Amino acid sequence: MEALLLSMKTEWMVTAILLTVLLLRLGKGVAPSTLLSLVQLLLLVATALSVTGSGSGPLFGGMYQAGPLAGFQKSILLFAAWMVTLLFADWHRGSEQLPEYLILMLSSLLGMCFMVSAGNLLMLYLSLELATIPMAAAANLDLGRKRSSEGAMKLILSSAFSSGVLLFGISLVYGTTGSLDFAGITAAIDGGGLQTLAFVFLFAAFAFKMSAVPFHLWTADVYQGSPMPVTAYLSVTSKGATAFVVVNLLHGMFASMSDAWYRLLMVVVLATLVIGNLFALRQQDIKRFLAFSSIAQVGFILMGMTGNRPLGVSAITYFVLVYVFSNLAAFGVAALVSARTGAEDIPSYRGLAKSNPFLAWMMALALFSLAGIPPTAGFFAKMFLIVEGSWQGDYWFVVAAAINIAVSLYYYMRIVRLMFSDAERPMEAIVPAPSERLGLLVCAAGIVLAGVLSWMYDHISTLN
Amino acid sequence: MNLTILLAIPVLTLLAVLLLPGARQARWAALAGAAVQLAASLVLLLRFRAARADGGKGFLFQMQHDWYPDWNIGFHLGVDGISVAMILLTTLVVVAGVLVSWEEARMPKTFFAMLTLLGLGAYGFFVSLDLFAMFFFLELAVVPKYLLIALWGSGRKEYSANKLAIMLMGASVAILMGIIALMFSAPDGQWTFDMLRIVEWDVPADTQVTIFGLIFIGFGVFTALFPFHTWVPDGHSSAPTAGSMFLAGISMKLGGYGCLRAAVWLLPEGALAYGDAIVGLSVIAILYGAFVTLMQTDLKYINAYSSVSHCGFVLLGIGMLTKAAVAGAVLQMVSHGLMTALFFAVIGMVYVRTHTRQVAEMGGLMKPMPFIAVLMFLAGLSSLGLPGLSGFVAEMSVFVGGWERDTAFHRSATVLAAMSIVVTAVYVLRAIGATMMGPLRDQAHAALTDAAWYEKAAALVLTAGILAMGLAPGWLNDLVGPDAAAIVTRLGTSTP
Amino acid sequence: MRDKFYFDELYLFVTKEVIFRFIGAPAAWIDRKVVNGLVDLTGNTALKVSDAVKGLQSGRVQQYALFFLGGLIVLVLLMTYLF
Repeated sequence: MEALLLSMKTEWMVTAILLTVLLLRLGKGVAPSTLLSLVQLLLLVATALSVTGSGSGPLFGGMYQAGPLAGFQKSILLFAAWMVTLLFADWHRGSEQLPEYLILMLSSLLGMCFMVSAGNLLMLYLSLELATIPMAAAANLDLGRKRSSEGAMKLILSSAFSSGVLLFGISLVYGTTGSLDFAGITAAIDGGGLQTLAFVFLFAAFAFKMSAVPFHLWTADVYQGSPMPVTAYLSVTSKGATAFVVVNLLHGMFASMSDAWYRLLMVVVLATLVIGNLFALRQQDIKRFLAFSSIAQVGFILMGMTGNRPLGVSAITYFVLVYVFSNLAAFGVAALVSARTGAEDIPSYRGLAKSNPFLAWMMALALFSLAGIPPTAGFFAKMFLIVEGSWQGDYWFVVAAAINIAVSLYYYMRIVRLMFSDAERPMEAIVPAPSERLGLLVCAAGIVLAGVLSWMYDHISTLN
Repeated sequence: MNLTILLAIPVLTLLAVLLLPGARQARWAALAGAAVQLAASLVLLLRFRAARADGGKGFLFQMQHDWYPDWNIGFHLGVDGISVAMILLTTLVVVAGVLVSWEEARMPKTFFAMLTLLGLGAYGFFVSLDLFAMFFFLELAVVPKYLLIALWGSGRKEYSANKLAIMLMGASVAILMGIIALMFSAPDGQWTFDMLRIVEWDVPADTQVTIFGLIFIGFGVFTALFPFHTWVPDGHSSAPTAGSMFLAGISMKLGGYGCLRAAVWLLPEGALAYGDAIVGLSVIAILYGAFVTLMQTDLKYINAYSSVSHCGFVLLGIGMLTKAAVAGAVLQMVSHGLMTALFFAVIGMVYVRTHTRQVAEMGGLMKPMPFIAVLMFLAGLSSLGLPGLSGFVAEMSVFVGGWERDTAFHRSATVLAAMSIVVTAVYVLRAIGATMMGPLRDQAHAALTDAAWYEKAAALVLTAGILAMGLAPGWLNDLVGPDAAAIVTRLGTSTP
Repeated sequence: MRDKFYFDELYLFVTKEVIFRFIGAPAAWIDRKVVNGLVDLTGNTALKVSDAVKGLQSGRVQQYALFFLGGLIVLVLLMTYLF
């Protein structure tokens, strides 16, 4: 009983917050700002409690696997959810469906937590659906905008498609190994033809969630159509949680097939980096731009998996954490600009530094970190993934991948340059709400300090 | 001496520049930081000489901390004579660059922050003994370079900034691959980025040759290795004055230092295999750069292309692999850094007044601005290697070292490189003659004022360096010589 | 000595007619057009390709599913036959 409480404490806490919001919604109802403050506070407490560590070991006959690293990965997800409620406070307060939105977001968060700890393919499938379907509903929350419905429709249709593929993969695994349990499957995997097929199907379904090429096509439309907080949330948590799952599957269940999946990963990494960068190069819409830039980032995450070493898992966890800081800061600024001026195209960022130096600097820091430029944490995170990618000794592959950093510099720096250039009609001064300012500052502190000072990585490393 | 001081001063300066409220305070903070750093580097020089007189050898004042042990990354600092010389050069250029930009009106706080950040990158690069930390500091200087050109530049600034950033970033990828491959080629999994441990490894010759190619070409791009030099002319001419000074005076030197430290020193077999190719490419760069300079009509392009030619001497000295030549390469880095920074500073001063950089639109500027004209003479004469100024010492040392290699190839390379001095004399004297001498070309120029106090101060700092090196070359030679010799000694007996 | 042995004329001829025209000018041309041209070509090609492919994403979900399926088949073929 104690293990049940302790090992699953993150899930319990998310459930508790979820129920609180639900009860408040069903009861008399509270003012949106009160509700939001309450959820912000509860998420902060939950993150803090979750980061203090968790028990380990199997629960429910192996359905659920708790472990220190998984516990930390979940706290990253919780932290991201907390940051989203902070950074997009204005949108939340203005939304007419705030309780519904929060319930959707928290259910999806719960799904992701279970996903990270899944020890059984059925459990994995269920939690994946729990993580995805609420987000499709949330993507539709800008009820007045057609694009929002379009994005939601695309997300749900493509998700259904990928779920079908995943289920097919799962049934093949079950058919060839006679087990749905991770441990049982690992013991029975022999790399036969049907299992290879099963692996590709599983991989494709998760690559879809991470938006790796060629399963990425939904990303730009959904990111562009959804309300900004939904996009931001989706871009970091969904990607992060899936990355944690995929690395566990590759390094655990399919470790014996590593020769084969290593080469598969090489193909996917190169395709993802090149296509992501190529499409990002000329994007004019900030949300589409961030969508393609996030695709390119996934290329690096997948590259960190090629080494098939535990170190790679540390590197990926750290990368996701840094990515939460950087991407949420970028989306936070974009959301503020979009909410106050309606501008969502990159050229209107020209001259932002003149009227809004704080926002311009935050955006610049976020972009530096995404581009992997020192002294930001993004530099270190990317370097670790590259070192990990070099572990197998295929340096040509790493060079081909790393050249993309040089290309990406072009489009990241373009925005920085625009923001700091003179403009004929600079944007009006935007005053962020206190919580938005706090959120941006936390992200900035993470970007600047989490790399140069090594303790955040060291913590992850000791858990692994 | 605690080397972290050399990093702490620029970091504190950066914070002061960013956090102080006004532009005036920011520039004073930048200047104070640069001046303190100059003082600290002079103390470093004295302490280093004293320590060496006490029998200190190799890298002194070392200190070591863990950084990311999982990834074999440490924070290991230490300096030898070569790094001390480069640090001195950097401090002089930073002080001069801040002074020259005194009246910068466009976003002055950000501007001085960028200058300080670029300086920080260089200091960190020169004091690091860990390859990864070196790479970190190398990359730290990329953004300031890009933004200095893109935001404060002129002409085709966006094009130039992009070209510079992407080419240097591509070069960085080659360097990164090289150092990762080197780290993984450790015997028995003793992976490390620490150069003092790598240097003790016995890396197989063919591995060394492959890795040397990556690292050398990567750093070569930074120091205008032919044919990867095309970022140099556009980048320098589009950059603001201080930006050009930093690019040519500091940034290109990161490349030369990296070639020497991370490539030649760590990978002697690679150096032996690539030596002749380096000599060939650098002779091309020297002559080709000089001839292209002849055809330029814009003062900044003249100096930028002449930098391609002059940095060729750095690579030539490295490629010759003799003690005198390698020492000459380091001297040439210092000399070129000072001289070209002075030249760019003068061009900037002229441009601020005449609003043109076209040689054909100037003439007789000696009359309204004698001080600036004298500075230009000084920079020009040092550039063409007049005895008594820094350029002569450095180039002479490279030629003497090159001549020690007695094959026909090396001898003819030395002779060809030496012949470029004639071309240098032609373009330098033409440029100075056309702009400064003769009757006033444009009557509107008669009313122009001579250098302001901050411009004079900037020029004096650099001139002091040029003269100190030219008139008393012994101390610099003593500083650099033993460590250059140590690098060459590692190459074994197959070279003189 | 009256014409200084035509030394000035000789100098001018060598510099202007020989060095400038036959060495300097071609070198400058090569530098701008060939060496720098190649660098620019690489950059511009990337931008052009980016412009060209931007329109390829149609916005239709059917096409996305088709790509998904196509990618899946390619990966399966790669895994079974190549790796």
